[in-house]
Amino acid sequence: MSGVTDDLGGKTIVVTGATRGVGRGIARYLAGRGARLVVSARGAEGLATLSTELDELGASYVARTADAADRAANFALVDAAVETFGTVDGIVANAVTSNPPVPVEELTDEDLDVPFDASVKGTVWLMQAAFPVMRAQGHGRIVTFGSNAALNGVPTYSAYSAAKEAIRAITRTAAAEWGRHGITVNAVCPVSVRHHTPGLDDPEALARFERGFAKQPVPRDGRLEEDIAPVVGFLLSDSSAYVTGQTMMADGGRIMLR
Amino acid sequence: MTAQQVRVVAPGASSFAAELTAALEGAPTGDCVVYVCGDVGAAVAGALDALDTDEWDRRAEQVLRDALTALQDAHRVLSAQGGRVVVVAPTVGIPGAPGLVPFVTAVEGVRAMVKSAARQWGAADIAVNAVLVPIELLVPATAGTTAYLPPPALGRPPTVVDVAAAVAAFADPARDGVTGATVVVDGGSVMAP
Repeated sequence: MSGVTDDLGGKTIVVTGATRGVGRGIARYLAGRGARLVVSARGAEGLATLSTELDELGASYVARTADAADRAANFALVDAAVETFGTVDGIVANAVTSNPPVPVEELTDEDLDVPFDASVKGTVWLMQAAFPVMRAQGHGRIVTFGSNAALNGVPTYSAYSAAKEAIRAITRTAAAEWGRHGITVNAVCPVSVRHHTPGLDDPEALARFERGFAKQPVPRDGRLEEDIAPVVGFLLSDSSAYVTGQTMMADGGRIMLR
Repeated sequence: MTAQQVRVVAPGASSFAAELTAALEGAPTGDCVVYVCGDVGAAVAGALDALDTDEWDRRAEQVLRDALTALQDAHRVLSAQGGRVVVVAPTVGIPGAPGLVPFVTAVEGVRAMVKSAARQWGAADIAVNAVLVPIELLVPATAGTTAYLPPPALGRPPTVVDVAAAVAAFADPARDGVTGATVVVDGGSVMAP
């Protein structure tokens, strides 16, 4: 097919928030396809566990502790990619931090600051760190994360949702600014609840989720490596060279954004 | 269909369909029907105030009927083992296009059909997705009708290979959790919403 493939072998990708949930699934997926990784998370313990998994997969990788809200820490991740692998082909700005859900009328400064510092600013800092390298080489792939909770509106998730929609706006803006350098910027809205939603040991909560999944076209929860990560993989690959400023749903058809 | 086949269906389409077929040659896909919604006879500019019912039938209703037939045929050949349906259509349904009201209306209708089919057939392991491309790629005679859109952020015109790569991604069984989705392959011109 004229040499255009979704082969990720040898590409250098930075993945933040890589030790849990969606980020871990993406890291494992990319490692399994021969990508060279810089993986990060706040906790050293989680990174040690992930490192063991990546070793078992035979991956080439660097693991770094990093707080996504720390601008310098994001730049250090890109520096690590360049120092170790010579470049950075793509970034996956997945790290997210949020406070417990609260109603809008009770939102505090901190409730808003936490997701905006780690998710919104963290995404921007990582994008800024990667931009000079990508501009110099004339190509780059940036993947950010929105949320179906933000698209549909879910009670008590206003701060998290506002941050996620802000990320989608930044995604489109950066796509418009950086396209001329061969850099694509796209967002993914994944749905996978089992790994992170509190209360799934509660049979009633579990039953409620199952009822929701049953109504989806693909009637099950999203699998991290099999359903979510391949969508991210497409946006990191040469196959998506002409796709930018877009949001792709990885949600089994639940929302059908547009 | 036998295993690992891609069938491109394109009633009334320009040479784009043949080029797409060639570009998909050798792509790693599962069973997939690709429908190209780009009838050169329907994408003809005309004034809305002068539109009569015959013209509406030709440039809107016929486009919808062709798409419906294609989706029904796709279901027939894929229902036994599951598979993928990818509808390639122009982006103009999202922002609209002056002079192309019937065709643009039909294109958005086709996307609604894609989403509804995706909801109906997901449990049967048939995914239905849309790939949107600049209209002039499908119907070269429409060049200039979307001059009001921002230029592509990537700074170059699209190629059939760009489109084939996205089609192949949706045709890949590895992404069978994606259905009812629209991906725009236009270099970053139409980003809404």
